[in-house]
Amino acid sequence: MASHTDDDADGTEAGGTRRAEPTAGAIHLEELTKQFDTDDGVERVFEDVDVHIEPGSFVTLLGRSGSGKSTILKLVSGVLKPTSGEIRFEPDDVTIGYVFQSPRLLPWNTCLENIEFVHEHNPAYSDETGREYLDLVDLSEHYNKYPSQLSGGQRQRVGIARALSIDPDILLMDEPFSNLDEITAEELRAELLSIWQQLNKTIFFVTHDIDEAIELSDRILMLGDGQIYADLDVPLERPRSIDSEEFLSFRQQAIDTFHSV
Amino acid sequence: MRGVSGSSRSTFGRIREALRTNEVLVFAESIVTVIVVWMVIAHGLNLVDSISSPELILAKVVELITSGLFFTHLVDTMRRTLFGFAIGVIIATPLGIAIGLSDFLKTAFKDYVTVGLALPDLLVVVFVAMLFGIGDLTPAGAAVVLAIPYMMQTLIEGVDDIDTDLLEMGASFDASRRRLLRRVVVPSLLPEWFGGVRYSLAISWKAVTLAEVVAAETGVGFMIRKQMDTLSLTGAFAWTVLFIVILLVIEYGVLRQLERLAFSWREEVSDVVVAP
Repeated sequence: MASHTDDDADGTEAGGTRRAEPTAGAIHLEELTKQFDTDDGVERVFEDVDVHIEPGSFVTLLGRSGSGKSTILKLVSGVLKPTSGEIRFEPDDVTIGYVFQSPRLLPWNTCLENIEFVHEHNPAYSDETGREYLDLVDLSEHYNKYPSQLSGGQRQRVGIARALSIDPDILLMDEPFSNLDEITAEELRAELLSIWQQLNKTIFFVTHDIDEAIELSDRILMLGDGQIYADLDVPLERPRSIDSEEFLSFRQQAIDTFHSV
Repeated sequence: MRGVSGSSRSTFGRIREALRTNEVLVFAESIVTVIVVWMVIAHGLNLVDSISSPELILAKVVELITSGLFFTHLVDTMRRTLFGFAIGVIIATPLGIAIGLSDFLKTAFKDYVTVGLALPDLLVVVFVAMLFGIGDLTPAGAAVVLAIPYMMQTLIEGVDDIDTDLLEMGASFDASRRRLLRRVVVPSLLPEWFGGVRYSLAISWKAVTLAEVVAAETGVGFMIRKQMDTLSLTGAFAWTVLFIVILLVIEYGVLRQLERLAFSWREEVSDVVVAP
């Protein structure tokens, strides 16, 4: 994969390509409540959720299917409005990138065109930019391919490149690897970590997979029964090995906590 | 003869296999069968006057072509058809999309569309004839009135089929309404629109020829009516056969090619190599 490390921390990489200053945003959820009106009455998804996410951190929201974790992400991205409570960002005008569980690519556009699609308000965008981000996720041979010509893992990579291409301060990821086979998912997790370490974005990641949560994040929030009932820091050093002693012992702790509700 | 498959790749064996499985050949075989049965019944049972016979029709077809008569009237029919069909598509496309996208408009107008679909063709022709009299406008007008409801229904249903996940994705990236319309809604509707166009063309042909039978002085429909007036079944068949040939030429020569060009991004089943 292309190297984008800034070895002498002067804002340029070896080779002289100038990258934008890495920016990362903070997220503050305050007394967040969401309920839906359904035919069977009012469905309270969660109530009075308080979460603060530091800039540049990788935080995972872990919960069972149906716990409301995707809903929280949709509230943060602005697609849904909260019933009550507040969502604040630092800085106020953060750019948010979103990666979905399914790639959600436009089937009638090529990979490049799919990236261009999200740059409507960006006069500085050029095909050059799009190609850079496709290179970042290892799709240099596929600029002009259509989604139907790609594998599931490749399509998901395009989705990730698309979200990264807007240079977001915050990256929201909704179970992005759960539709993939384990081998592809493992590869993409490693790539994601590498990209995160290079670009220093805040990542708010949602999953139901506890191993994935431990492998990837600095901090795990556990959502269940309408509230965040646990907030664990993950003390393991990266790179993390899924069969190391520390991993396994922390994992046991985490599982016990997870099932405590 | 069962059991003789695969083992013999002789020329004879391959010809036999082709005769059974090749699409074009099988279709040709069915046509030949119809022709042969027809001729046998017509001549064998002495019914040529009531049911005509393929060789007579063929002779008439040749006469119509060589005399230029077919093309004179075909031009009129085609002009009316294309005109009516084009106007119908131009009106129905934005209307259908707008109604499909708006709950309010859908509630207001969906019954109009339902009624439009149910209108009997002849009734429409009669009404339009009373408005426009004999001439080009009646067939073209009938085509417009009959094609519009189908096109609109196709698009209204097509809008329902749009993948809302893609719209949500666009919204989460702050795409404007215009962007979503141009890059998600319209491309998403294109296959359905194309189907609607094809269907509208077929309806227009039928509307025009029906109108010509009733209220025109030129055109394929008018000529078929003339054949009927002179009790010439052979003539009626001949005109119909030629008309069908033209329809097929347009379908395979024009519409299929356009379709191929427009939808090259769609997954071809034969191209699937990698499974996710």
